[in-house]
Amino acid sequence: MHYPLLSVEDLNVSFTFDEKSLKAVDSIGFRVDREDFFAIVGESGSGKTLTALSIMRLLPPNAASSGRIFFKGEDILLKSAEDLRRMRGRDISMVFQEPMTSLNPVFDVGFQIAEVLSTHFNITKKEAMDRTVELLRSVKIPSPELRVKDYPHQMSGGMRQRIMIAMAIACSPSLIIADEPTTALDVTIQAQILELIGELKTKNEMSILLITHDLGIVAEWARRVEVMYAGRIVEKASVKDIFLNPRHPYTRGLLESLPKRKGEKLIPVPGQVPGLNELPSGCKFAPRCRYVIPACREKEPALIPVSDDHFSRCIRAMEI
Amino acid sequence: MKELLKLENVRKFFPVKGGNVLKAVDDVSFVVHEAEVFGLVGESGCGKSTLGKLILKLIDTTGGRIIFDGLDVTNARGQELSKIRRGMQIIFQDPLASLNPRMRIIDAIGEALVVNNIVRRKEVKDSVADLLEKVGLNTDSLYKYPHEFSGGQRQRICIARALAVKPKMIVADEPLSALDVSIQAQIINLLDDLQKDSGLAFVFISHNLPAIEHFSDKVAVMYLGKIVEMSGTAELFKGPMHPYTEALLSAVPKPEVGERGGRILLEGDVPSPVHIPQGCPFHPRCPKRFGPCDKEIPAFREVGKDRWVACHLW
Repeated sequence: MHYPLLSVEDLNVSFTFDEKSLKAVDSIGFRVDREDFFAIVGESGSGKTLTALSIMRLLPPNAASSGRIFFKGEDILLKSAEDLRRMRGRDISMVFQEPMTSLNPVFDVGFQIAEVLSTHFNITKKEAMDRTVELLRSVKIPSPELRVKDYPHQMSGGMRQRIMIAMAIACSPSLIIADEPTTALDVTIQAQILELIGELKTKNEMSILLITHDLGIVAEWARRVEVMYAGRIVEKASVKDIFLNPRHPYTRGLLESLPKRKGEKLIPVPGQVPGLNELPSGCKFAPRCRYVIPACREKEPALIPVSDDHFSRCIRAMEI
Repeated sequence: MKELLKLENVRKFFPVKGGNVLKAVDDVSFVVHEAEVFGLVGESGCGKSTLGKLILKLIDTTGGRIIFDGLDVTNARGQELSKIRRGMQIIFQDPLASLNPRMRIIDAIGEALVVNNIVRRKEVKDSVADLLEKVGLNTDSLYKYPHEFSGGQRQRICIARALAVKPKMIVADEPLSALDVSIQAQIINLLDDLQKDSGLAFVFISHNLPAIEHFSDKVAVMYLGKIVEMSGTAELFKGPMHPYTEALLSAVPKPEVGERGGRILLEGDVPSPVHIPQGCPFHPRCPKRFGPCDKEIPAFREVGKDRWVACHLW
């Protein structure tokens, strides 16, 4: 039986505050194939990180998720705690934005990587350490046999992110979820890290689920992309279609708001992202939308196909 | 155009443990004219924020001279310094950290007006309302507290406060970094309008190269405390001369479909500013290094009209 690697169907995440329930992710669905490079794009509060955390079942205690998340045909949301432990790191691993807060400051980095190996494989300490040195070499840390003894604070931001990546690929997972992996880094270091991720993806035949706010990174690395706004998918398409033929006013707004050459006026998206407790009825983007018509405010539009494998949550998708 | 701000061989060294010095800013010279936008770009730790603080004398220089509007900033004190600071203001990256959480907006901005004797107390409300309108906020905001606003609105408030003293120049230190993409464009347009309408000059400090390209007239690229290249924006982005500028520009991911090409990947990390490499500070990472690079510090010199570069290649 052939399953897609990851298939998320009708995923919802809600938070409970003072007996009120707020929906932060609303009926998200997408599919990541084998050796795919899939990106989720959105601004702060769009629900992109919560989507990632749901896949790893790492949501905070006051958040609840529903729906189905199939990984190689098995529903992650139905897995036992024991099964989840086996899955995390081994089948799916995650790289976060801020490597300093993801690493333990009181252990050397070698120990932290070796720990992942000995958790998932029945190997001796010596074997784990040898493999750790190899992993550091594969993420291009110079003199790896010396650097295994370093503590996180002795490394630069770029090095620390390399350590996180080494840890993520330690058990050769088939999927890596990278949540803003280069946002805390300088642009020349970002280029190194993205190049490394791309290289390891090919070498280890992995899929990448990239979560980012940076459209440039999406254009250069991803194959398919989904744009999130206020917890919803507003557009989903191949990268080519998103950039050349955007069919949702928000996607279009994001692209138009990027700085251009001197003298050309930018076209910003007016207003601001609404809070979860003040979402408008009807289309959630309507208050900021240039193309709004009365019908937009009446009923929330469905995600409609605009062409093969290209969907937009806009009733005017074909006109804009 | 008249010279407004002039830096001559400005240095800022910090003593660190073990008798070493951290050379945050080393021998920096440039001129900003009236109504000009001077972009200062570089990666973390290159000294660009330190330089911003030196310009306003929020910290003291170790050496060199800073002249603003004909007045010597470097040694200014008391009355003279207040006068200088009425001429230039600063806005920071994190607007929430720059606003007092317990002051209403009318008080936060009004204080600047009253302290500097710009308006009388009973005119404060109207003046603050005018300033808010200038930055695109309505008068409902007057009696609110900073936490009641979004990030973009707070940055507008900080800009309004900077405008209160009618400065000739604003130092904007990473004013976009804490904001979402769709909001960044709003703030860039606002700064653009202010610059055009009131002829404000800017020192625009940012690591965001597309924003620098869009907003600046002139650009200086900093690396390890020194300016390595400086020229008109269009020239610099079209034909970078210093290998670092070249690599920096090529590293920015472009939001366009097509092949990734021409990316120059630098080796390793930026060295610590406490242990700056001998010779050209960029040579250990430079893909074009040759003979003299690890021995001699290249002079920062004019190699073409208004094109300055510190590199042995030129």
